[in-house]
Amino acid sequence: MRHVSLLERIRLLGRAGLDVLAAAGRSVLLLLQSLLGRSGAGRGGQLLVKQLYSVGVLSLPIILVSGLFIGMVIALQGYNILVTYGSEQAVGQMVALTLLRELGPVVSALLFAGRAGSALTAEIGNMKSTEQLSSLEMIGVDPLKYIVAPRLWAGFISLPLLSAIFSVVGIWGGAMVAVDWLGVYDGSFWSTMQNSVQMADVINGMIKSLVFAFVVTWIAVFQGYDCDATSEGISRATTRTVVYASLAVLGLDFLLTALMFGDI
Amino acid sequence: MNTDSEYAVELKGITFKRGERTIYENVDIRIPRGKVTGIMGPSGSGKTTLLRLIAAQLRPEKGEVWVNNLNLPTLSRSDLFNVRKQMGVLFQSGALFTDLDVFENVAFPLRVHTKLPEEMIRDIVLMKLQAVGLRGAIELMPDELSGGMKRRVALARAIALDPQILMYDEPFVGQDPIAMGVLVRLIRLLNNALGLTSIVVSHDLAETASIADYLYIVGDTQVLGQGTPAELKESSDPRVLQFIKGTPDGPVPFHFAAPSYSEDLLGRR
Repeated sequence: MRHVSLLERIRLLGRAGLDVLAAAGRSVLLLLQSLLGRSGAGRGGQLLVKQLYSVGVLSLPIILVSGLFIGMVIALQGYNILVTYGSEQAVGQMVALTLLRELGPVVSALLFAGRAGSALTAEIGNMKSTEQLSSLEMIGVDPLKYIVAPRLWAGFISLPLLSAIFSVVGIWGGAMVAVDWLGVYDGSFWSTMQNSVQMADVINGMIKSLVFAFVVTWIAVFQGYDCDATSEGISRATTRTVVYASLAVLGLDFLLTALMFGDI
Repeated sequence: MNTDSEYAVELKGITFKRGERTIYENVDIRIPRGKVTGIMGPSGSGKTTLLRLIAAQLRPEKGEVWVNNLNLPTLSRSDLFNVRKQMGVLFQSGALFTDLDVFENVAFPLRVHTKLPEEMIRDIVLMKLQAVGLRGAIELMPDELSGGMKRRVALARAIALDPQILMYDEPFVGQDPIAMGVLVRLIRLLNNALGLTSIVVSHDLAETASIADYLYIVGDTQVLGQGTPAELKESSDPRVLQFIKGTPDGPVPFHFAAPSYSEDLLGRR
């Protein structure tokens, strides 16, 4: 292996730092140039609907199934703990608050990064490697407006809705397990939930999922647009999307939770 | 946009580098309006880079790129997109949109830049596809086409808006002899019939020389030679003769710059 001197290591570290800063700058430019100004060749609405379908509607199955099972598991685990204190009727409150405040936004964002985020990166990266983006430029169409902007907006709109659906299905799954299977009285299940869940919980959950939607979609489209136009480059970019987006979601979740519920 | 000047494209004192490697060093190239100009040179000499510089997809480190009397590197992003509507590029891979069929690929520039009624778009698309011999393939998807067919569909798309300047990146690679003959005639025919300025980047000497009015031979960061095909064949410049005769030994190195072969083999590096 080639010997690397200390000076060379410092130089490489500096180079890596500059590369990170340059990438951050490019990502901000991509965001601004995509979202500001006129939409894609006068067909913005049409392009957005198409992307809402592929980013949002096609993510529904994984969100529905995961939401259902997570709601069922929380109810089961919660019941087993609460029943020892004789307060199993509070399982409704536990399921609803856990889903609305935390698991709804966070798990949907993680699933969204894996399902839709990776697909966005791979699709845009593949368009770059097959010169489709260059070809658009030469036709006089800005790929940032035509390809990137509708995908960004589709992500911003889809994830908060998917997150809301996730929580609703999760609560329904929780009710199935607690009420129908474990025999918790349905009146107590729903009334404890109604008494404890505030509008602020719902709104805070929505704010979280809006922030996650922004970050996950931004990372996904930037990684696709900025990747090396080779098979290896696309594969690395797709991996980076899932890793960076997941870490960003988990980190931001702590930050947002501290801001929203830190004084409790 | 001024189209009166004698030259459609003028590159003045262009220097371009990729990382540490210099591709062009202070190069001047002028593309005469209304003619077919061939840009030739060995593989890796930067021919495609030259096309991308003319299309302003790459920015030169130094120098000016004038297209129809506009210096492209100084234009704003939106002005650049407007200028590009007057240019067409046939990419080496075709670069068709994979989610659209052949008809929609050719119709794409018309749909985004015009408000023509559907019947007229259909007629124009059929005419363009007829010109490249693929009118029967309108319903096929790009992944159902061969490499050569993809490039012909891409040519139909490139001429959909009747551009003033049409650039071809290695148009003859991967074409069968029949398609090659048709394509050679088509490039000449389109140039004459539509009054285009055509720039053909290629290393296929015979085909390019047969249709080009003027040729540039590039390599080793410079323009090695220029002139009409007849003038270049008579050239006494050893670098031009080496390329035209296809000899590996000569002033233009066949090998990419490398350290001593023996030292490399003996692991002394």
